[in-house]
This record gives sequence, structure tokens and C-alpha cells, in this order.
Amino acid sequence: MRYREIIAPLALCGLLCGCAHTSNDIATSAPVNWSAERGKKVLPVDPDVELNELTFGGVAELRADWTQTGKSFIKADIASMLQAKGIATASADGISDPHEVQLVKLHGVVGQSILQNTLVPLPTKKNNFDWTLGSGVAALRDHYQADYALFVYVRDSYSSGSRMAFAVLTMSPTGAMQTGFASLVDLRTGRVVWFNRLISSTGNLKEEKPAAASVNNLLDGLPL
Amino acid sequence: MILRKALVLSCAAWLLAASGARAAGHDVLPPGYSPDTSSDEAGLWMLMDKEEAAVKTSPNIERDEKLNAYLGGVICKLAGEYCPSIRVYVVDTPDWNASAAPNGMVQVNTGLLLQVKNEAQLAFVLRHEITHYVHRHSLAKTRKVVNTAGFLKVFGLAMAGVGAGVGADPRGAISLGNALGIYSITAFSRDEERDADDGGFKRATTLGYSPTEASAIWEAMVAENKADPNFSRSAFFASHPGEEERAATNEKLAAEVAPTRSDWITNEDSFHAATAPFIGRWVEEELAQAQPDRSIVVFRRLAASMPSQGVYQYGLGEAYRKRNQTNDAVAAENAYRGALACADAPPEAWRGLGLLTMKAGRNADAREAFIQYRAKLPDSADKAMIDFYLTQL
Repeated sequence: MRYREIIAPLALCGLLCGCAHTSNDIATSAPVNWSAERGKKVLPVDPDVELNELTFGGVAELRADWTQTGKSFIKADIASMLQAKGIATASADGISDPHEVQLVKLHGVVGQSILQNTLVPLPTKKNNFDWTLGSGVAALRDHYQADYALFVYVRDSYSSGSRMAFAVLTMSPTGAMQTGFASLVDLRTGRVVWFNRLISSTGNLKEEKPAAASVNNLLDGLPL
Repeated sequence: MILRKALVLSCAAWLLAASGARAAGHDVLPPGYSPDTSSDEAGLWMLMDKEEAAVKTSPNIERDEKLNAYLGGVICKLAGEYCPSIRVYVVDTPDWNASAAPNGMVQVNTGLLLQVKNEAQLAFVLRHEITHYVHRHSLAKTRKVVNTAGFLKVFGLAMAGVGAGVGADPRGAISLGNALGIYSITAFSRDEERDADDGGFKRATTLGYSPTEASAIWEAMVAENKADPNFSRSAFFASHPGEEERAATNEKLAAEVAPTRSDWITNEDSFHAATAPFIGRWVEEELAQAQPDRSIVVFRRLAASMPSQGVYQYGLGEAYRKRNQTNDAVAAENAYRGALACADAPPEAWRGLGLLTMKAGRNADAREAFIQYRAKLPDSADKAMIDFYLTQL
């Protein structure tokens, strides 16, 4: 079964080796030729980040302080990475326009579908990466005068002390995991032109250096 | 072996402690409070803030200024010193409910506004929800779930040691440990509901809302559930106490309090003034749920208590026509005619009557009804369909 073929090594990798795994998808039918697009602008959308604490019994509890810290690191890392590449950006913090909020939510749903499709592919999506948010993204293009939007979604969990102690005692995995995806959307067409997923059992978004490493992995292969 | 026994015993003690923890020991929210960012409570608020951001921009929010100002005023009065921390959203859905999130987001469904008769009935429900917020019930429940999960983990280990596994068994039956865990969470939740009923009753009656209105909404729910062939509930796993119990408790409390003053208020007029522009749409949304058994109970009650409002009798006619069981056609026709006799007769009642009589082969009646409908609503969305019917009659 294809599902097992993919998930088994991922899980093994995640749980045992303690490594970070990333995997890129590129819309080959809509390639990004950044070098030919001088002067183009990117809109980094406020990243959707949640950092959880895994309680002793395995309930994931959102930690507001960790989430705030992690999110600010991720935002800063993305900004400095784009700046280092000399890419012009538009700022889209606190999107509040109802239509724009719906577009961000739409991306969340499409992104989750792409993620799911990498595990259990739809028959029509096996060999072609042709996901789109539709022409409605023109609203973002017009408002922010940007050509591409960069979306980031990250969920991370950390074991509580008691859970960690129990895991060590019983030699069982804690289940703490870092997952996420990043995608680049062409605001002229709505097409998701690049998508990268991240799964890792290590990493620490609460601290500056490991957070930068995670963002590096997340944006690995970004065609800009 | 001794160790294993000790583990099982300590687990049993944990469960007793976990299921014995009652909502009575709730932690009252200080007005103007915001949690420490490293706390579990802050995490809960953050999740709710995210949800609220989505609610705020949702197309399903009723943004009418007058309605929102009216409800905001009622809720502010009920919330008292918590008023500045509360935001109200009117959610356009016929599912009749209201909720108060731990971060102060209060949602009132339009279905609830359709179903209550006056401001007093609404006040008892809303203050019930606000009590959940003030007594931090969501936080208590989250902690309860965390503790129960921890208990189950150790319980599972201990039971595995004595040869009984925890978790759904291969036949799909629920295991003892999980059943106890779910029971202890839902029992806890039922106690919180009782606490919220109690807090709601006290505050609303202090503000002068007529105590005899408190049980009305629960009695209505009992009647609707009884009429609904698809309704079932397990008392063991239910998160809320039975509506019968809630109606009875409220009636008992009302009997004690009612004689203490004579100037109880229901504010029926201001409630109707605020909701009147929307009732027609909310009636259609109730009908669109395609649960005619429930809708018949709803509209019979509303039509009986507000007989001069044709819109409820129209809703009753539609529900009977759509259910289409023995004698429903007669009941539907009576309801439509009752609606049309009202001063505010909804033109749609003519359409209903036309469809009903057309089906019965009473072509002359159908023709008359459709002509009336077309004359009263010349630009209705279904005019082409009605004109087609007219050519066939």
C-alpha cells in the first residue's frame, strides 16, 4: 500500500533517527523564473504557528508564550532570508479585510489538502502539481502590490517534564513532533507554484538558533 | 507483584479523586483579568482569539447595527462588571444555542432569537453562558481532560500488568478505563451546567427578569426532542443534564423567588422591536433544516403565544406541508389561512396554499392563491416557476 510506503519511513525517520525531513513540490507547468522577474515583490503572510506542550497523558496544550516567541523568530528568519536574497517584500501583518482573511483560510485548507495528498495521493493529482487558490487572490495582489505570497504553517510540540521522564523510564517515544509547510502562491494566477513540507522530531522553535535552522529547512528549495 | 497491586490501587484512588472533583470549587474570574502567558489558560485564550478572528470576518455573522446594539446592551447588563471584557457575535444559524468562550467571546445563534418569546427567556440562557465564562468552566474542563488522560495512561499500564488492556478492544467495544474516563469528564461537565444554570438564574432574577420565564426554554426543548424521531441521548455520557431536570430545577427556584416581588420584567416589546426585521428570514432558516417534526412543535408554540403574528402560522403551514403525513394537508391549510388572516400576512403563505391545493387537484384554489402571491410579491425569485404553474392550471 502506497500510504504505508510513504508514512513508514517518515515515521521511522521522525521517531528513531531524530532527523528533519523536507520534501519539495514544484508546479512544473507553471515554473518560477525568478531571475527573469526583477522587481517583483513577495508578500510574506503572517505565519500560522502553534507550539504545544504534550502533557503526561498526551494531551497537546497550546502554550501562548512559546507560540509568541516561536512565531516572532519564524517571522524574523523569513524576513532576513528574503532580505539576504535581495527580494522586495510587502508587509501583511494583521490581515483584517474579510475577503483577505478568507483567502488566508482558503490557503490553509488547500495547504492541508496538498499535505494529505503527499501521503494518500488522489488519482488525479499523482503526477501533476496543479493546486490553485483561484483568481480571487487578485485582491491580495492589488492591495499589497505583490506578485507572490509566501505562506507558512508550523505546528510543534514539546513534552512536559513528567512525560519526558515517563518516556525515558519506559523507553517509549514521547510523540513530540515538528511539522509544517510553506508555499509560494503566484498572485497573478492563484497557482501554488512551490510547496515544501517539513517533519522533524528534533528542533526547538523557542530558541533563536534552532528556530533559524527550522526555517532554513522549511524554505529549503524556495525558487526565489 | 506487590508493586503491581500498589499501582492498581493508586490508580483507583486517582480515578476517585478525578471523578470526585466537582465544579463547585470553581475559580471565579477577576474582572479585567488576563492570564499569565506561560499558563495553560493563556493557551486556551490564544486558541479562542484565533477562533474569534475567524468569527469576526465570517460571512455567517449578522452585522445589523440595531440588533447588535440591543443584544450588546442586554448582555452588558447581565455581565455587569465583566461587560468590558465581553464581545458579542450574532451567528446566523437556526441551531438554537449560545456560547461564551474563555476569552470573552459570546456567540448568540439566530435560532435562539427565533425561539425565545421575550428578553427574559433570552436573559436566562445568556447569563447561563456568561456564568460558564465567569466561573472559568472551560479551563476546569481542559484540566480535567488532561488529568483523565494522565490517569488513563497509568491505569492502562497497570491493567496491562494484570492482563486487561485499555483502549478500544478489537471488537470495537469501549474499555473499562476509557468508559470511566469519559464518564468522569461528562459527569464533571453536567455539574458545570448545573452551576451555570444556578448562576444564570440568580443574576437574571436579581436584575428583575421574571423567574417564571426561566424554565420555558427547557420545556420547549423537551417538547421538540420528544417530537423528533431521530433524537436519542445517553444519560451516562451526556455532557448536559436532561432538559426535564433543568426545567424542573428552574420551576422550583422560580416558585421560591416569584413571590418576593411583583414588578418582574420580560421586556417583550423591546425584544420584538429588535428582532422583528429578521423573523421572516429566521423562519425560513428553521424550515430549511428539513426537520419538520421539530419545526411543527416550534411553530405551534410560537403561533400559540403570538397569534397575531402571521409569520409563525406561515412557518407552521410550511412545516406541515413538508412533512406530508396523514392529515398534515388539512393542518397546513388551516395554518396558511390563519397566517393570511393576520395583519402582517406573509405573501409566501399564498404560495404555500397554492402548492398545497395544486397537489390536491383543487386547480381553482391553486390559481387564486398563485395569482395573489404574484400580485403581492411581483419580483420573487421563483416567479418564473409560479407563472409556469399558472399556465398548467
